[in-house]
Amino acid sequence: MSNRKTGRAAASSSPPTSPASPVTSARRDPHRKLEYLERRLQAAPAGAELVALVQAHAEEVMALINGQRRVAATWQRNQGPAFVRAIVDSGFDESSRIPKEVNGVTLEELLLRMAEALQRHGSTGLRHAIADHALVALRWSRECHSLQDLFGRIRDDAEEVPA
Amino acid sequence: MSAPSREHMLRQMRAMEAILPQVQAELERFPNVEAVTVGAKERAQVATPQLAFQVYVTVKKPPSELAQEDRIPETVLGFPTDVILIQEASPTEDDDKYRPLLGGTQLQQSAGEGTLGIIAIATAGSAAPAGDPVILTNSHVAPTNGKLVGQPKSPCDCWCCACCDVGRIVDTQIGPAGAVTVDGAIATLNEGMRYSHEIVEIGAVRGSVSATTLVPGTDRVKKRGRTTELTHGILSSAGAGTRRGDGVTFVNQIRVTSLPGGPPFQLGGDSGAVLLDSQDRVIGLMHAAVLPAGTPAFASRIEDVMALLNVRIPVMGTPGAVPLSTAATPSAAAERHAALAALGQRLHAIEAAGAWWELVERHRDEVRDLVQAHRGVSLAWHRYQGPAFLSHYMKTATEAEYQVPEEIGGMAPQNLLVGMAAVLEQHGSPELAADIREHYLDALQLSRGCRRIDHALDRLERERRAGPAARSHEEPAPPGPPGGVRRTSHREPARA
Repeated sequence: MSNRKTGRAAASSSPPTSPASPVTSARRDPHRKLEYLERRLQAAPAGAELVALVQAHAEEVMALINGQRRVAATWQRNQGPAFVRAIVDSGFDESSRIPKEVNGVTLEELLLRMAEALQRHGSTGLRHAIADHALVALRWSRECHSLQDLFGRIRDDAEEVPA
Repeated sequence: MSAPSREHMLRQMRAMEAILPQVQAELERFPNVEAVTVGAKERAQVATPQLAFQVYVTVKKPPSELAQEDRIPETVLGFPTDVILIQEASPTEDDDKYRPLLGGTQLQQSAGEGTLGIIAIATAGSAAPAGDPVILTNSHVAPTNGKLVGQPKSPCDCWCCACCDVGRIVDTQIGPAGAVTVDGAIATLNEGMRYSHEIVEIGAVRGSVSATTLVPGTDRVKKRGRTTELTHGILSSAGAGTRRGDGVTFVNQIRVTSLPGGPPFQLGGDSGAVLLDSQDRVIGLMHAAVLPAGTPAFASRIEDVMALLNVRIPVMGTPGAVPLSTAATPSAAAERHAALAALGQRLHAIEAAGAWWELVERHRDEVRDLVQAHRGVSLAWHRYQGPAFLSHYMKTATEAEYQVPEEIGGMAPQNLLVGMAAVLEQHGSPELAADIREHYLDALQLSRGCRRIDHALDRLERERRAGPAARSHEEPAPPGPPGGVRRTSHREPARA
């Protein structure tokens, strides 16, 4: 995920054709899409922490997917690229349905198997992150049907957390 | 007229063995004759102190139905014959727990159960390290190489899953090919397992000896198995053949008959027991009997067993020594069993915990098999410290203040659960995979903050009283990212 600074730069270099809807503009520019998603997540404290978590481990996860044979095999075998493509293609419209199954593999199965592969081959920090967050990520993948659902769950979960 | 002396019988036996090839050539031309050997003349399937050439036939007809030339002569070269019908013998199968491990007790592998014959010693060439103690039993009792065996059971009746496993099969054979003489298996002992070379009710053994040195029809033999326990019989032959119900034909077997009017020598579950002579020397390894009579019974000669599996029987103690079983030592395992039983009772009293227990019961055997035999599952179980976590959680059942470490070897319980859910969902049966998918998130949720088994039970009990709505507020650690991120920074270093 791009950081906020990069996102702004990308946005300024590709001015939206319609200033009315950020979703519409996001559909036309991948950088804008990610920036929009990030902004939405940053709006809630829990979401901001999720963004921080992803930023902390994204580089390692990408390196493992691209350079570690077994992780790459798990990613490919469980339709990881197809899920990413399907999600990006949805245009990040909040009401668009998140694909729950691609070629017989469910999103939850992909995440569970990737969690196993990543904790097996990843760093101690990544393993700790999986131990701490796998439950909530897997639950969201099971229960959320759209980005709207996901944002709602992040807000609700934050409200349930005792101070 | 007094019975002939033992020395006289031995001389007669050697004389008969000297002409045995000639007698075999003479008698094996008769229809249905499978084998001829020197043994005792049997009456009503009981060996008598009279030597004879035993003629094993596949079909036994009354003399009136046979042509004169097809009748087996009553005597050959001056010695009597005894026509014995080859009956289908059944491999025998069989509950007390014995620690230290002793011979003559129940042994089980998931595919079969029988008797732990004796703790033998591995020799050079064995699948076990030379000099190490090994469990000796039958191959049909423990048929799978690499799998665990339990005493008395594997898995046991309590829910600890592993307390009764005593060793692992390293060599299991019905062989050698071509002329099968042995149905045997050996298992190495788990680290720290206490054992004795003694046999329950018999005591110390005095090494081994070939059954061919004994006199058929005269010499008494005995065995201790898990079903009929200590029984005595009479050696009928040390060179008999038998065809078992599972289709295996054995040669050079020890044939034993019950004492006149005595109980069956061997029944289902006695398989794997060792056969001893009157001086407590091991002469064979029991593996079959004609059922339901329990006589005659069959054993592999111990010299064949020792040669095939590369083991020896130790000489120990003194004849008539008091069996160790009469002086059983108190065991830490018994304490643990009692604590686990109490925990099990509580578990059954909580409805939600009962449902978890049903899941465990439903899939325990399959999961054990996968952990033991499937490379991927086994690697995951060990990589994520499954044995260590299981052991620590078990310890919390017996020690009031004990807590499972947050991490073992860099792995948290949640890493173990994620890893095992992934591999079991992929490699398990459709039923197991379906239950994993349905329940693994609940297991992950339950594991958070529960560092003792009874804490998990307390939580289930509180949730049952408060209803599902209370669930998210009951947890010491919140499930969402904010709490999780904070918790990561407070992680303690591994302590185990």
